[in-house]
Amino acid sequence: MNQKYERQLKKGVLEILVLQLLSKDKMYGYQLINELKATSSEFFTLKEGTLYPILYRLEDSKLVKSQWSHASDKEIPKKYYSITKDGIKELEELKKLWSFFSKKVSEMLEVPQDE
Amino acid sequence: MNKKKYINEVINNLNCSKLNKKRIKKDIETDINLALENGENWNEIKNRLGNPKDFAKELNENFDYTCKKSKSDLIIGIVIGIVSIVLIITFLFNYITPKTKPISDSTIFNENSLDNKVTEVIKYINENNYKQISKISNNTMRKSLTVAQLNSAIQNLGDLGEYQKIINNTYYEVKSKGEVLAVCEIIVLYDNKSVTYTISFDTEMKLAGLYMK
Repeated sequence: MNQKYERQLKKGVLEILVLQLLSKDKMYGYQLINELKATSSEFFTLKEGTLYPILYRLEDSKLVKSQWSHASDKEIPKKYYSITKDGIKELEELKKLWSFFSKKVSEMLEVPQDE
Repeated sequence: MNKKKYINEVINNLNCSKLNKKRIKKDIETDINLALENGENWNEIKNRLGNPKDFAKELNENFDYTCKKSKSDLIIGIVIGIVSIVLIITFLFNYITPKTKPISDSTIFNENSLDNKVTEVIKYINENNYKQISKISNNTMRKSLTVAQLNSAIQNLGDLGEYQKIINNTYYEVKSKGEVLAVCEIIVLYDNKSVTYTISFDTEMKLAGLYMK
């Protein structure tokens, strides 16, 4: 049961976290998965099946844009995602929303239950 | 299962548009290649990604927005296509099918003018006057009706004898293929027999068609 809730809660914040990571630097998909895993001390171990749709959604909403790196003999071409101006604006809004949301949930959960 | 087969199985189990399948395929290939470059071996990567059907299922579940969008786009496209075909067929049907109404309902043609014009045409036919018939014809008629054709048509009627009178006339306005014509069916009595003429005029009252039997 806990796993199901954990998965749902994680899903809800993934777009914010992806935008947050991309606000620091441009990244490719595999790098994003590793970064999420590393910066969350392996709490957010994202699979490609979850990440791709998030990136496509963000891209379709013009919050991020993608660009393939030039292929060379040694290097595999990478699809780099970077945050757009709209993405930065959206991230700021989402951060405020998350702050308000988590505060409210915490407040509600901290209220002692009536006996 | 090798890398290529694995990717193909994931793609084959996706419910997305072709465009998204192409996008996903390229991204999976790239990320697998990057993982290989990063030191992971294929078995490790395969275990991490999981069963290809589960991978596709996960994509399908998370892809609800994009997939639904592409499906709804498809449905909208089909509906627009069907409506367009119906409109085109209706338009063509209306365009091709002649629409006939009595001349009394016409806002273009006047019965008295048609009477005069018909009498004039019959007169020229009786005189076998090609020059005058050609003069009152529109361009299309003038180009298609030759002296020989007119002579032959008149000769085919046989020995008519002297012209007596017009014994019946029926006029219609006919709209067909974007063209509006007044079609006049005239029965003319001669000494030896009667002839039915079908004479058409365009909106400028130029002779547009002539048929006799």
